[in-house]
Amino acid sequence: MSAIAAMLPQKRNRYMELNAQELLTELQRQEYYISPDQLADLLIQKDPSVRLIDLRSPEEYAKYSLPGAVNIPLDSLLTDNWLGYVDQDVKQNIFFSNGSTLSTEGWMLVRQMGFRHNYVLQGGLNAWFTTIIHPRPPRSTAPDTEWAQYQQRLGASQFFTGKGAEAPADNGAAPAPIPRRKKKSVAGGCS
Amino acid sequence: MNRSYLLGLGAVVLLALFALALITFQQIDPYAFPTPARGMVTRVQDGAHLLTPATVEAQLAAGELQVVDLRDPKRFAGYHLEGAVNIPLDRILDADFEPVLNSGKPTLLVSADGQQALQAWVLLTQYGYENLFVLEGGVDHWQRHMDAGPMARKPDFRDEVALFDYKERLENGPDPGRLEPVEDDGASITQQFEGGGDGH
Repeated sequence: MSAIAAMLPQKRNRYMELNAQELLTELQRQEYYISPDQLADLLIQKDPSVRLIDLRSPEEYAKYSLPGAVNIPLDSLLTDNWLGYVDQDVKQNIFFSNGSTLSTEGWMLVRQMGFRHNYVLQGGLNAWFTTIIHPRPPRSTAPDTEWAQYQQRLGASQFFTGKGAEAPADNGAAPAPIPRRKKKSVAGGCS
Repeated sequence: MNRSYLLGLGAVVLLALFALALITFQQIDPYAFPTPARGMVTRVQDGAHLLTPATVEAQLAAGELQVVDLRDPKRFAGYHLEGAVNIPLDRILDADFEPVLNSGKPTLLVSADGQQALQAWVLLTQYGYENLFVLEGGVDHWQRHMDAGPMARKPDFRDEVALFDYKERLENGPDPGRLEPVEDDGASITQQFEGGGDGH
């Protein structure tokens, strides 16, 4: 039996690389989306496993980013020097950009290389500002659950805006690259 | 004597078949990506695949685009762009639809908010298809802001454009003197679709 097991195809890295069909299935499970409300909860609880990754350009990052976010533009993310950020099992990486487009593209490329624990902030910074920083009240006829959510958002808004006024986000220091632990060619990558 | 010989031969043939199956299984994965993930980075970043509603409107008027709608058939039946073909996202890799995606005509992928169309674009482009594009904002934006009269028009929508100066907004909040347009949330449109579907 073990002889047969040894003959089975070996994946080229310790993660399972996905083909098109597998990636499509994964996409439809929609487990990679994290809503602004979920992110607000995680940040308020100061969940230590959360790592925010801003995939936009350094210029946009310099203007504004989420507190504590590191800036890894998409074209850097997949290079050997930075892949250590996604080639890991400890942190939950949350990719974000202005909308959902850039972060979803980044997620798809990283996921098919086999890496897990990466998520996409749904709606990006635009949605973060319109739902958490400055939430809009629901219609007067909206069900109680929506009003409860609105109250939650107002609390979260206070948490993020109040704090932001006193201590500016520590975005000054440039993040250091984290090379992958083992030097090996990325499966499916340029060899 | 004869019987054990046959048994042995059978075993050898079986093993050979098994090995052959293993080799083919290993080498030919019909769904393997011909382009590695890293090869997609520049294509993703140049953004040439993302078309604004205005661009789409012009190209549709000129008859230059074929529209593939990735939403489920019920929603498609409720509302769709003129001339659109419905291929639900979960069936996008079916061989049946290859001729549609490979028709040689530029093909616009559309979904409810544009995100699934974007995902399909990455998937199919990396899988080898060319000449595919994505409608920014998707069908919902189109229905609300392109197809609902001149007052509602927002032809230049792009998902990745910052809605405002975040830093300024964080410090000063929304401008109280300026009324911001209240947008419908997606729920009303969905209900509309479902209502229409039930009516049939």
